[in-house]
Amino acid sequence: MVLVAGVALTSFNRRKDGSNFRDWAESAVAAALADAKMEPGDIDALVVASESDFFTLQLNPASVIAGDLGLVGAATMRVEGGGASGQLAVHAAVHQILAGTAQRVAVVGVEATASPLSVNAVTKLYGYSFDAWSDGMTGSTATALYALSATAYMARSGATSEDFAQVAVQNRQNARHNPNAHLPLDTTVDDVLASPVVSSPYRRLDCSPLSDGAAAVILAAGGAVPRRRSGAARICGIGAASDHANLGTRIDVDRFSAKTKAMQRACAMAGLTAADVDIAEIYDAYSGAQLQGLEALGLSSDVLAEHRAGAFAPDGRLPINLSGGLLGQGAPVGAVGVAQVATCALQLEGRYHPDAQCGSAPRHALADTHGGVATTAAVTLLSAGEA
Amino acid sequence: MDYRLVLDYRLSAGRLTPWIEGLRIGKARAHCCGECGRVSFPPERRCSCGSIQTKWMTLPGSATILQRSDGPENSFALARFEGADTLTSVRLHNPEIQSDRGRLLAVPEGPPAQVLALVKPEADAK
Repeated sequence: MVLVAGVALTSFNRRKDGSNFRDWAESAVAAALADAKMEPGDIDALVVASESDFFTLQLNPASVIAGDLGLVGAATMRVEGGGASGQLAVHAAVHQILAGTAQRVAVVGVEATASPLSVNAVTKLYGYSFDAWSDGMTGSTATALYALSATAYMARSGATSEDFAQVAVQNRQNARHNPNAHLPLDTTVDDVLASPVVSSPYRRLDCSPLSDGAAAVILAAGGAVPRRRSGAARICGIGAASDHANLGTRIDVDRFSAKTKAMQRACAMAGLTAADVDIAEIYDAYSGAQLQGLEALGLSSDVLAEHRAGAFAPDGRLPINLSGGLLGQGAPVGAVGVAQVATCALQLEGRYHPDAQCGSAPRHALADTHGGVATTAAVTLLSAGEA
Repeated sequence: MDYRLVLDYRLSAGRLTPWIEGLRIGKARAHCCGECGRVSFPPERRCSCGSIQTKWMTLPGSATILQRSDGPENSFALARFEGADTLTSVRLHNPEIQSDRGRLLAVPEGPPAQVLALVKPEADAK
């Protein structure tokens, strides 16, 4: 059994206060340790999730973060899998605990995506996170590649730009109840459809922002949590899978097949099915990707009909991205997956931000991420702990 | 603090060098699997059947667009090159032309790139 003993997030936004990624990581881990009722000396291992050294010019970031946190001597590693980095780091920690090589592991995801480089520079760098030769050097952008997949999805499913826009509107509405969120906006479908085209069908408000920030979780074996820290949620299933990096090599460019496999693996480990999931944090780098993700994860037999009927709204059958998701909460890439797991744990314990807390006492939560256009998929299933 | 770092890379394309060299002169060089006959462009290092027994072939260079995405600065598409079993992403050289047909454009300078010059339907028919 792996418990989520403590969690913490910094704000996600564009930092203008002179702080840097080491400050954010230190802050997040210190708060997560306090939440877990632990001290740095209790930690056996540190896993750092960070997508790119281009943002910070710090290779081997785990080494310096360990020093900052007073964890010199602990086992350290950095995990990277594009947008899936955060959850892959959580998975690495789970493996360490289940293997018995560590009892308590600190996981911190951190990224300085917004402040160090220009938007144009980051856009160009992200092109190299697909196939650097055939996509990146051709000048393809993340938005363009997602857009090509989304266009195929629209043609197959009948989804419209209005459907996509409604995702962006809902998630940013959800973010209004999250004090850490980057874009807590009160927008309308018309606002989204009137925003400038980035790469059709995606417009600016269909896209998640570039954000700075960090998130941390302290994972622990069942018997390694302080007695005074009761009721912790537990990680009951993890799953990861991959797909061809080149969209054109895939059988269906509009389907997130790696996500389907990752979900099957996590469900098999947990002994659960998609129908058991009560709430989910879905990787909504772009508005349409949320609908493609819901389909791939098997969370609905008719995603579009349920989306249009409000099933994924906070008061719906299956609340999605109560945090605001990437569209609303923000997207410091390495931190995203860790933040999702933290959010799910807090929701299951009933101690999320009060106005964004799911009211129906969820028992099971799903955190879903991917890198590339769902090339590297990683999902985590969590269950409510014992009170 | 402002800081500028300039890096001059010397990258090698390895086993896919013929593909890169083809892009320089507008030739669509593809892999044909020796086991199943699947033709991939861009060339897969390993065929989806699992084989690495591939041979080079040159496709005619014409392509059909299946999906297209337009932006204020660039347009991109998923296209299938004639003779290929796979799709690939391409940058559109002349997106102002509304056509689903194009030809691979030579990119002699700069990074290797898959750029498609769209062909007007009437020109394509000739």
